[in-house]
Amino acid sequence: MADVRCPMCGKPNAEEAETCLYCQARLKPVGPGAEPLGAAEPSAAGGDTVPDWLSRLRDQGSPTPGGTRELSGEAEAPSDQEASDWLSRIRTRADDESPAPSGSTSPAEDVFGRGKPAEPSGPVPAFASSAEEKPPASAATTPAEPASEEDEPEWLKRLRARRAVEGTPGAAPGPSFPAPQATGEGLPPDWMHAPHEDLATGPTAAPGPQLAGGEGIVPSWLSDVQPPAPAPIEPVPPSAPAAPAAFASEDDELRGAYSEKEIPDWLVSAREEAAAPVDVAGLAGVPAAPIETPPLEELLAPGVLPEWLTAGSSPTPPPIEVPGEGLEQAVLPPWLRAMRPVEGPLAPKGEPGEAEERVESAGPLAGLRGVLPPKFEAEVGRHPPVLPSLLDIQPAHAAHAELLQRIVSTPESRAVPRARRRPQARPWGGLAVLVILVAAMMVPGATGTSVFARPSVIAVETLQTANLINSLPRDRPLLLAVDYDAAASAELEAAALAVLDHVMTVGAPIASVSTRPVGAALAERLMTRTRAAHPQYQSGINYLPLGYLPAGPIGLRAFAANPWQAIFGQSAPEGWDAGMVAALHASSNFSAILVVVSDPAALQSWIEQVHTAVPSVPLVAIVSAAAEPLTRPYYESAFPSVQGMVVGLAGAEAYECLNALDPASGRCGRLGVADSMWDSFGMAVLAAVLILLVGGLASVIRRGVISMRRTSHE
Amino acid sequence: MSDVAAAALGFFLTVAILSYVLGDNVLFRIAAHLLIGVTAGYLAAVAWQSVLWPQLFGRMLNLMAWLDPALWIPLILVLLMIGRSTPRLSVLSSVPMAFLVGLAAAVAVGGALTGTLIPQVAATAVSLSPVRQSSGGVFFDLEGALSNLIILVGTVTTLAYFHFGARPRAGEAPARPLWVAPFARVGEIFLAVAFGALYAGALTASLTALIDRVVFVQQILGRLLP
Repeated sequence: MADVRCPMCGKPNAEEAETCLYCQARLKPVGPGAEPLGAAEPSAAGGDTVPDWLSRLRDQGSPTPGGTRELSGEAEAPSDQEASDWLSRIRTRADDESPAPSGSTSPAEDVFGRGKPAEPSGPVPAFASSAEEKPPASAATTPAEPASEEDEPEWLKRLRARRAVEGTPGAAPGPSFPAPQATGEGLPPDWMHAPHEDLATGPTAAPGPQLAGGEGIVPSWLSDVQPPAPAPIEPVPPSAPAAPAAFASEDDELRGAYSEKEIPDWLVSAREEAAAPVDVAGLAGVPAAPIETPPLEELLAPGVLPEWLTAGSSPTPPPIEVPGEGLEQAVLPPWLRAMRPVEGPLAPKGEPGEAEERVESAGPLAGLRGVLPPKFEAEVGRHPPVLPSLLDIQPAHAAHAELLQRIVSTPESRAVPRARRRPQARPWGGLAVLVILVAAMMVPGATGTSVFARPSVIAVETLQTANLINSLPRDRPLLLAVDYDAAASAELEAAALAVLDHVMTVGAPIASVSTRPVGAALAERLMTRTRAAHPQYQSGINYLPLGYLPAGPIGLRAFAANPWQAIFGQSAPEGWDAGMVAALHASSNFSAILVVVSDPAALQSWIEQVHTAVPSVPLVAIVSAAAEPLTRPYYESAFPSVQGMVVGLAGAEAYECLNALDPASGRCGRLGVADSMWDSFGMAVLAAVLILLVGGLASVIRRGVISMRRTSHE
Repeated sequence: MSDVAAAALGFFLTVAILSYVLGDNVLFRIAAHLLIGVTAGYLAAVAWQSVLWPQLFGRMLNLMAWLDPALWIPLILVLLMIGRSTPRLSVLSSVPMAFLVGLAAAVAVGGALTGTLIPQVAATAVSLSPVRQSSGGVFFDLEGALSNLIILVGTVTTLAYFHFGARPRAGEAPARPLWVAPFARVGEIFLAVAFGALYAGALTASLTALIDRVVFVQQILGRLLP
């Protein structure tokens, strides 16, 4: 089943539906194409086929059982105050154009006088007079010629006959057709019948009985539309019913009394125009009789069309008084004008003169010209057209917009799973490694055996450090920089203790400083442990703790420029130029710089900020084994910044061996801190290597097994 | 007595830290929190004793010292830095922060150029000839020449590995130019060797720290146990 879209709301409806299910708008036009009048309007026999809208109108009119309408004020009829303006204007015009009749208005007469005989008692309006001037045509005088056209359908015959009737005024008599019967049978199709048959009700229509019996000649909608402009209008009582109720009257008496002379010219011309495309006479070989059609300006002249009809189609609407008319009109700036839409959804389309040339073909305005704006129907019930986009949307922006729309439109269907707490893996692996390492470390101490021999080969950097320490002067202090954390104290303290022991053996004074807050404490710890073997070193005499040097590299740069200023925050007072404090006047007064670092960045800062400022002062580094790869380039370069290095526990052991080397036997003598850990260190490294090898081998085997399983599965 | 208490505390903290091998536990947390608290307190004490009092507040007691800009300029910067504690006044701290950042950057860049970049670049400009000439005459140093060759190759290939001139291709992953790829591969080997050396150094440093603690525990147990 094909659907019919509602012209109002655009929603689909059943094909046989007459009104929209959604907005109750009428789907099938009442004019051309509508049901035959004989079927659409109630006949004398019954009104089963009366449409709903007409029934409602009838109900509002409340016709009396006698076939006349009660025009007196009823409860349903609105009062004068409630009557619409158009009705008031109609009343006013009727009063102006026709003097008040002498007699009283019959109840059977409606507001337009349709209920009384066409006996104009007063001045006749223009359209009425023009209608009277037309010679009446007699349908009975036009004989029919059915002999040669018997095969034609009945509706065509009737159409020809009616065309012949139309052509009689002022024209040669054409072939006569039998007068159309008012039975309503065999009428031509609706689209041809309705507008054309209306013409039969004009001045040439058969009077009296045909009209009385021809219910299908004048459609009810036309009879409703016609009343606003008839000339003989009886005075309307103030309590007249509403106009729509009067328009909906289908009473036979009213229709019979409705004089064709009362049809205004504009309606006649409209009928002719509506019937003009159907050249029925031409089909029959009979030239169509010319019909005098008044110009459009005359039809649309004030007073011809009812005010309610001309209100929407007035070519020259009355000027609207604007409150601020004298004000200067604003001018849009160019940028705002550029932002205006080029084409709005309600902008009138079509040519400018199209509104005037358009002829309505359906509805109560059928046959009228220029009463509606062009393409009005096309705009109703449609979605607004897509405006041409003047924005330059980048593809990336469009993609983002699409993604956002997708995100917004997509419902959240996936619930976020609650994070489950993974059970903590049993630390058996780590515990096993720890047990193995600890066991390996404790074996030498528990058994008292020496598994690993002392290093027989001393590294070059260690030898250079020892040589440098041996050459230290005793009048210039050695600057000891303790820049490591407590976590690295085990490794670095062993090396630092070995070197400091050598320094104290030489007898060089020592000044300690640190760029880390804990460095001062670690330096004090170093000195305390070393002074146990060298009690001659006393603080303030041959040992000067300078403490914490703040600001990192900036402090080092300041220290290189003026150690006293950097340490104490002020210039050195006069007289403090003897002893160790005399060295604080300039960094070049130090005999050497011994930097103990666990972080290569700390050594880099000392080299970059201090050693570059005083390159004449040798720099020796005691570094952790973890920092060795990054600090060694400073020592092994062609222009070394570091003149000696002691690296990790191995370097400490080597340095201790140098300190206690017996020249006669060539063996290391006195044991130190590094030597006490040497065997444990060797065992631990051996155990670590074994663990790494076993772990690596197990990993390789596991991967091989997994790969074999995958291969077998594939 | 204090040595015994210190040794007992050290033993407890060492065992508590080592207990982390069994997973996160209360003993480890106690030791970690204790370390953090003690460190923070110690840092505050050092900052007051070594910096704030002798260089700022101690000098403020001397009225004549107020004539020295080296006193009140840092004081102003310190007061501005205090504004960082409140969001409304945090904008004031931008002045000393800008001063510190700018000064540190200038000092670091200058020192890096003269102390690291130029010497290291000069160190790679070595002679590959095994013939050396010294005050004692001309001698043949094949080892030195080989070492210099390794330095040159390692430097060039490592720099080639960090060559970021790979251009993307349609449907393919970005790839190095053909002439760079072999050098980058060799440089990757050098980098692997360097990282291996770093790992070995970190391992030995960690083992040394563990040995120190194990020896300490062993000594304590040796004292306690007959």
